[in-house]
Amino acid sequence: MKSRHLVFGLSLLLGLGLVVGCKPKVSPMPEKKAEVAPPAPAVVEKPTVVDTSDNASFREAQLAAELERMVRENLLAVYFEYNSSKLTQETVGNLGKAAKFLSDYPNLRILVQGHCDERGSSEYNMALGESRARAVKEYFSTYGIQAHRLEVTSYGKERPATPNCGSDDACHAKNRRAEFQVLAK
Amino acid sequence: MQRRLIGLMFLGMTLVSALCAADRVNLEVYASKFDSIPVAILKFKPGASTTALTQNEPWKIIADDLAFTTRFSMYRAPRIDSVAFAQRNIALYIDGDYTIVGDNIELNCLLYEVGTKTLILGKKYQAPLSDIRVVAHRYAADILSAICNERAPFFSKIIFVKDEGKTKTLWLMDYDGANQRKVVSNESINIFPAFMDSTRFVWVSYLRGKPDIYKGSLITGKSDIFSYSRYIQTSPTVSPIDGKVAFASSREGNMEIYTCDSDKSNLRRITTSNAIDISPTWSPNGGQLAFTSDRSGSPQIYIMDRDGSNPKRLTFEGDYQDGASWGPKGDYIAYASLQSGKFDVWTIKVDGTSAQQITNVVGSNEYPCWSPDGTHLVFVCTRGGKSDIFSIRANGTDVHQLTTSGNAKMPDWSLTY
Repeated sequence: MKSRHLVFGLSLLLGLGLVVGCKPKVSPMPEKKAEVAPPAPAVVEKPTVVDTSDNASFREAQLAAELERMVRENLLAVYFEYNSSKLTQETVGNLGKAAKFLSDYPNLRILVQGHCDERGSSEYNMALGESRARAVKEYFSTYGIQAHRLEVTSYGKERPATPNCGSDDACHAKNRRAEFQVLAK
Repeated sequence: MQRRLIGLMFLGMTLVSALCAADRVNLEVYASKFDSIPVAILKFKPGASTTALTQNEPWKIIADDLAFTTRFSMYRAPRIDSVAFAQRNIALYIDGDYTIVGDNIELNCLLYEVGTKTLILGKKYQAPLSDIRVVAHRYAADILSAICNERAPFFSKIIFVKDEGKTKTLWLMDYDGANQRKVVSNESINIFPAFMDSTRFVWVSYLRGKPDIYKGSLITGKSDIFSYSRYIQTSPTVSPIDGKVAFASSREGNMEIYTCDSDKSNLRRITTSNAIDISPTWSPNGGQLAFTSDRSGSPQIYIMDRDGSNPKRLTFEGDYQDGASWGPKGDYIAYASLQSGKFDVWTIKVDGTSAQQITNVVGSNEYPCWSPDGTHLVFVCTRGGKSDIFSIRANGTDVHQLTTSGNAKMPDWSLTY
């Protein structure tokens, strides 16, 4: 369910974009308008101009796209060493960015998914994947992100980003990761 | 091993009549000379106006069944040839014929003693053609019972996982890889299936977005959630004695082993280490569990009592062991050991002695599970990006590939016969 706060927050952000002039004004798209606007009544001589700022579904779609973009840019997958759930220097960099984003959007709830490479057993990797997700959650807690906003789970080695790595270490490295999924906005 | 020959037995599912049999032929002396009894089997003959079978040939199924038992070494004989039989020390041969009428088959199966041409075990079956494998398994079971007074799991099933891209589905097959069919399919990941009995099973599904344990029925096709929490439920396993379910869960923060009754009651945490504890497997009498823990710094197999007391480390060789399966005779535990980047299946006695590598197959060999009679194991072999399920004798010989789809894993062998 979409939270009013987030809509408000995103509106503010978009507004800020206008003030600082780094974003083009959101202009109505005629095709979109034609789809969502009701047919003009026959008695009206001139077509009514529909202000898209009042068009709820259009705004919603815009905000959703904007949020999706920000999630994509800020909640980046982080990577781990073989058979380890320790956060690396690089991991911490990405997590700091993610934590900042989560602080800015206090209504976001996310699922941290831990993943493993295909080496090792299915069973043990379930546990290792969760250790990775929990390590991320703990790191977020140092930023004051509350535990109830963070779910953790593990996919073990069941959902590799790049399957069948064989002896390709770079390929394996892409699978040892924690990914984020937005649960509630 | 008893090598008694008992008289004719009326065991067939649709046995019409017994043909005739010698009351008693003593094979004791003869059979004691060999590790396994050499038996010839002939291609069964189609009756007049019956088209010859080109698949599910009962003589092949019977031969494979008897070879599987380790009690017989089978020779596919082109004809009755007393010289060739003598060279191979063959004292018994199986012959037969069949007639197909519509969707039904009438099958005569005959076991003879070579020297005297005495009929030892003759059975006549009438069955739907679709049950031809069942009938062949039945005759093989009857021979094993008559000659060795033993039984073999010809009617056992193996449940397993197929990786179908974004989803993973559960499948069922016969012990020999025949009759593969999908039993659980949804938009999610379904893994770690384990039989509760011959018709019910538990498994792990991500249907709710996280791994929870579900319970399903092969008869009704229905399933219910069995165990869930905010965190992880994984690797369920069922006690063969009382149906108690053991599984690993991180519901209290750390991955621990839990047990509960088959109706979900009496949930109890039985490990307390702050390490990872996973992959439980029950001893056949339900009194103990083996499991994997990394409390020593690397994943190793441990044994404990059913209430979690007296944990003791079982494996010491190798630095990564998991996936224990406790053998149905109670004396051996099979597990997967990761060495030099690949898994192999090992067995070890429950007292920690006699650790032995079982698989010597190209590829990574893991996820062992015992046959109900403890003579064989199934395991997953992964090579060239493909994974398939194989069976192997517990002494490491007689490897059979059961799946060929290249995406099969996590087999569990039912305890039924």
